[in-house]
Amino acid sequence: MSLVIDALSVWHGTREAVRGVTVSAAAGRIVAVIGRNGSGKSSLVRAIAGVHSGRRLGSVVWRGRELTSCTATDRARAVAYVAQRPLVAADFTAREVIGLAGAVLPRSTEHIERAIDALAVRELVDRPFSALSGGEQQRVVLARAFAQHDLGGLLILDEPFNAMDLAEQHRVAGALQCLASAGSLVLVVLHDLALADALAHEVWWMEAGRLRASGLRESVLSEAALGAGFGVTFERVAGTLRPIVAPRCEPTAG
Amino acid sequence: MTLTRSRTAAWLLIIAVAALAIVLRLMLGARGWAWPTPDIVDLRLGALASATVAGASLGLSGVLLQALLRNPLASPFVLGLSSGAGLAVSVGALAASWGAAWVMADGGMVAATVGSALALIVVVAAGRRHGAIDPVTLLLAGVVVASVAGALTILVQYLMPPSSRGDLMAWAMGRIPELPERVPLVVGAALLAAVSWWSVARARWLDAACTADDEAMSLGVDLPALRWRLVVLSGALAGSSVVLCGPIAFVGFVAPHVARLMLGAGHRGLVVASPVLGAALLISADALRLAVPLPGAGKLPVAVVTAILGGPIFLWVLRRQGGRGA
Repeated sequence: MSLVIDALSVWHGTREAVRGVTVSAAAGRIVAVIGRNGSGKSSLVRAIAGVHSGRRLGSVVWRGRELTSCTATDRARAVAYVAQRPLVAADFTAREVIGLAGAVLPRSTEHIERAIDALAVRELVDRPFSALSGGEQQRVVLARAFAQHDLGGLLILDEPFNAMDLAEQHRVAGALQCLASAGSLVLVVLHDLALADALAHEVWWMEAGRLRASGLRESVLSEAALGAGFGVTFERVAGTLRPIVAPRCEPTAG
Repeated sequence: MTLTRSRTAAWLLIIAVAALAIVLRLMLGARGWAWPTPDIVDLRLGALASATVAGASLGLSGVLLQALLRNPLASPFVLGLSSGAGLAVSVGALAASWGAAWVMADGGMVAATVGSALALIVVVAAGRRHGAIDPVTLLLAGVVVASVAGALTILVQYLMPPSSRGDLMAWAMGRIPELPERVPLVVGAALLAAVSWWSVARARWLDAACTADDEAMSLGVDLPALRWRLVVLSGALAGSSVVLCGPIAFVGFVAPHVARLMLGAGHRGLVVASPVLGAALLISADALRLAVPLPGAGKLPVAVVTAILGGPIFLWVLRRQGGRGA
């Protein structure tokens, strides 16, 4: 296994957000991290990416190297990360934001241009980042992570499809599948279980800070287990997982 | 978005502005508008050197603070650093007048650095809400620290022996010395050169620090170490300028903004242009104060000129910013 997480616990102040998670994944896969709000998904991936600044116990080993004890620069060579709510507090153009991939690491123009093409953001690069729509900003920030990422590395994305329209989601999902095919491990936090079902090879299901289930997508994303875990009825239509989220109006007595 | 279409044009404009300011200040003096005669050229050059080091230090300190706090409203004066340094130097001068001359053996550089760094730490600690820096709370904390430090400075001035009180009060109102003390000038210039070199080397880190904390760290920036260095270096620069010329308002705020308008948001340009424009601004303000006639033989303190020029620009940016920031 390329990524081995052993007894990882993470605290926010005195609250234990992740409780002794032990799990592993192989390179060349897309792993979806799912769970209800507050279940510890973001805390888990932030700790794996090495960007959690609070208390943490356990180990995260990527390709035989302990990530929690690396320098920031060495970690950046191994792991690219996109936060749930990207922030750019400067009047950068989209190209300048993508170029931040080379702020510390040496990145060639070719790296940057390849990332621009992979995320299809060439028409956006000369516009101010702050003037882009939410979905466009998300694609630009993903392009930055792609430019930082070396094939065969670890890419961690926290809800990257937020604010994207369907066409953008389709394009980004395709780009992630290409990376995984080329030997990278993609760890992606997702709320949309239908998207997780369509995109991921494996699923880690977090619940109350613990790993409720992990393994191949088919085994974790069963309608019965999801129904019990999320309190929503799921069904498969022509092989595609669909949550039935329309509220049912039951007649009340009296 | 920048004012000029090409970076070359922007740099030429910046150099022209700085050169014009130098010529203006060389030609303007207490006797009016003329090229300096040999008997006063040293005084003009002394004032020029003081304003250059102090203005450039304020400009660089401002751009480093704005990167540290991800807030374009940050500057040494607004955040109370200048007032903190002013208080520390005043206390040092009082201690020296009571016999502890060693406190001011370095011209007050250490006292000023400690004073400004402490002010910044207090302001940042008070400006945090729910673990994150809140721009409005930060500004309010800066106003409070500046007010308290300013009041305590006045108190210290009253405790001073009458013979040294006048000089301290003139310094506290902002004054460009025509005969600067050698130690603060040389140490200030050396500090400015060292921090400029460091800032150019770390400019791309400052760019990355404009993203969220976790993203900056994931890009390879050692954020905790970078932030401590920014606190110490911006504090030292603000302290150095205060020792030389007293607390001077808004230069550290306006210079990075003008640089940003001309060159864009990338720090590779900002960390060079901001000190150049800070120096040009302070030299121009010093020239302007000499050009403004006052009743009697008096001249405006330079801090009055920078405040009158900088205040409206600060309000404009505050309104444009609408409280956005970290």
